[in-house]
Amino acid sequence: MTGEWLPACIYWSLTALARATPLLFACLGGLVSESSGVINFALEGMMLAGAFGAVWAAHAFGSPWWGLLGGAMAGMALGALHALACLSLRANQIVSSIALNLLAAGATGTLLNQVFQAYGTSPTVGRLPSVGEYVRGGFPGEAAWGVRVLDALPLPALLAVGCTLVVLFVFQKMALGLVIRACGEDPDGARACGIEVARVRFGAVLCSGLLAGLGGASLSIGALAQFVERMTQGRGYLAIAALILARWNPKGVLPATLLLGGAEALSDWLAVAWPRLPHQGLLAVPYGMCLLVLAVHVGRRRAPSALGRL
Amino acid sequence: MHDRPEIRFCSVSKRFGSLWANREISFDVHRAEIHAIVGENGAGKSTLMKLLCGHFLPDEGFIALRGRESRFRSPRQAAEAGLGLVSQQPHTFPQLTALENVLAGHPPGLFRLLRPAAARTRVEALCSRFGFELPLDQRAGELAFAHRQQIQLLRVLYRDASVLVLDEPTSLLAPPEAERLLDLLRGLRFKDHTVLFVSHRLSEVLSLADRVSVLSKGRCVGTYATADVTRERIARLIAEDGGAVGSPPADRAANELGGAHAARLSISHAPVVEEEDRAMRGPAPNNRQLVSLAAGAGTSSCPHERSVGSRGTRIALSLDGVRSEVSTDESPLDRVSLELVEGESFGVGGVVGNGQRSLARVVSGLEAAVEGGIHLAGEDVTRMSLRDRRLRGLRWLPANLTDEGMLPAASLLDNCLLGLQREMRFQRYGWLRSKPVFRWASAMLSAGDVRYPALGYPASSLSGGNLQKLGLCRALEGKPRVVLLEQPSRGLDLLAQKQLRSRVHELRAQGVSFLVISHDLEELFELCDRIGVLFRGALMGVQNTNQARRETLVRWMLGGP
Repeated sequence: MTGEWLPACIYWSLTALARATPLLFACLGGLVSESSGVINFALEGMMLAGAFGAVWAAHAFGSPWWGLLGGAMAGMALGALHALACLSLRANQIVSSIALNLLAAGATGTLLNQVFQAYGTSPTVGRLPSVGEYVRGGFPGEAAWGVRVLDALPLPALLAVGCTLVVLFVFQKMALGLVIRACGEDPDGARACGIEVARVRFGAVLCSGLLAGLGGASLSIGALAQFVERMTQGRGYLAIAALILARWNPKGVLPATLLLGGAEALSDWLAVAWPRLPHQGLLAVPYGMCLLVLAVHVGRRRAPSALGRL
Repeated sequence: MHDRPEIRFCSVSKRFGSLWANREISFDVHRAEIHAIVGENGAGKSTLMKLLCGHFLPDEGFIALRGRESRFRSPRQAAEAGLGLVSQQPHTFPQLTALENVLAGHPPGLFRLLRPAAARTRVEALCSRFGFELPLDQRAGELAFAHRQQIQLLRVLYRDASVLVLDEPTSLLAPPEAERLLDLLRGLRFKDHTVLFVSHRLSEVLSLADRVSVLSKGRCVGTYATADVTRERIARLIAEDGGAVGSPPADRAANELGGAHAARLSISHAPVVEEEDRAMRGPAPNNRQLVSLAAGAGTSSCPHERSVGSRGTRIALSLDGVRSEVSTDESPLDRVSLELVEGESFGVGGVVGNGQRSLARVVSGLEAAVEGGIHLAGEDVTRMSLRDRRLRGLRWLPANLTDEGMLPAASLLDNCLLGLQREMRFQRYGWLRSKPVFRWASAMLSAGDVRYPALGYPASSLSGGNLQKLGLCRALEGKPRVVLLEQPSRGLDLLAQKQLRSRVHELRAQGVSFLVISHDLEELFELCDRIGVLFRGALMGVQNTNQARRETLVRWMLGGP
């Protein structure tokens, strides 16, 4: 039995990572923005914009790689709106976030109709290759078992892990990370220390939009090959839950999102293994898991001290 | 010798609304000089320092740095020009470690790599050179006030700023620490640094500074070499324009009380300063009477560890073998016992972090005692909440007002009312009665000489000294029985300190007891009948003020027998 058990385990963890990919991107985005002291509840809207932008660009330029770029740009555009509203116009950060979420939901639906003359779902576009496919593209011929397993891993997952490492590096090793956190801890103090708080925060929110947009793209052209209206299904909010779970600690983001992604993979598996279990109950598994962990999890680190304060 | 001044203020003016914070201020600061700036609360000292360091631009006039006009649009530009400000309220990032806090203050190239190991070595070297005992890996939010101030100072030193601007750096430091800081500044002057510092302590100013500029009501009254000017002269200049001081404090003759604690720290000051010091330190005559009256019973007995119960008066507050929770930044109390009779004032001194904060938190009720009992006028209050203790007449002025005693963003009115909102005179059926509250608050603030724009303004619009006055007003309001004062004269000018002293003595005559916690020995000598010293959470000993010797107290502070 062990011969089957090991591949199943690997397969399951790869599925968990694939499921966690959009969450991981969005959670990183939330981390960057909130560490600098700007609340970002607009992750949901940014993901949705990213998902649509990716399909649009992939359709227009005929390549999923352009789609990835388009998704990032669309998320960043929403990030720019959020930064403009919160930092330049000093709007309430939560209100701005909600407005952007509503805007993204409405605008993607309208644009879907205008651009593709379609309701609900867009036509199919090119999909990003999985890691397995990508590797096989370079070495034609019979693939080894290890490469075939990697078919389960979409390319954006690798990109997401890479981004995590970059963010980790920035927060742990670079002056930039310290400066971002200083802005989130005490903006007046940071200003007095010679940090240009407004600029740092603007950059952080833009970067946050970019990451969340990539998250959306990984849904629409990574997991699927089309845009479905409201396809993010609250993953932006789940990413915020993951951020709280990680206690705003860059090191915690990957485990937290893997946990939630794992719960999603588990609910998929349960749906296949026990088809008679109620479907709705299974869908709630990640959310239930999230509540459970938040309830028992205690730590020293808390939200940035000046979160939401200008 | 000095052909070109390092900093030149040229008729600098700054207005906030209708109030001129600085009005046509002109003076020069030379290179490698320690230049002190003195003046009463609200005289515009902090504003001037912030103008210099790029927090805002002057409305009129200009500031020239090394012969060139400096128009810093941000603190960053000022920092790049070699200016470093250590502000009165320490700005630290609560969730970053002390080390990270120091590094964040170093205007960094954003994409530069941090080199934690190298940075740590450098910061540790600075710490050991200046005798700071800063736990570098602790989060700043958990550090004591003095440590946070050290962080600010380290930021400036780490950056190697050539001009250091310090806004009341010693106001919360115990004598040994303050002396160390002053030594540090003297050392920096020899290394060609220029130091500008704001202080209320004239003895410090005269012993440290080369020259002193006096501000009054936003104007510069004059700049003097400290060698040519006496302490009385400066005190008179400070008060002159304010007009509120009837007679300069120097008129009070040196008395025996002054003489009793003229024994100074091992670091000797110029003899002339010492003499003036003594003249200044003498408290008001009525103060003297009270002190001898209250301490009269104990004069014949042993000077240390005297029992107070023999006085035959009612005990207002007693602590009986109190121990407190172990915390990260402060020694927990180690079986502290003390008794305060009605009308007595008991001072607690010690180096920062040796348990004064724990004592204040335990007595006020913010923290529960692990062991031992606290009695307030005979009633056991050990397990009582802060509010219940307050209802029984215990009042508290916290050390760090903006953290524990104020809502900086809320209006002055709300801040006056804080903690009193449930009293029947202010509310009926849960509705605030705005008119009585308004009348009461304005009366209280004007009686306390708080200068404020309007009651609707946020508390953060007040200067440090005025905020302290507001805190004092609130602590002494109504009918207190025991008042716990932590660092009461922090940020107060000479006049306000005098007012505080007379208010305290007035209340003591009515039977109110005071527990004064301060790092400043002078303050304790002036306000208290008896002085105890905490070291590592234990009460090392208690002395009567009129028999107290500074050397003994300082030795106790450092853990000596």
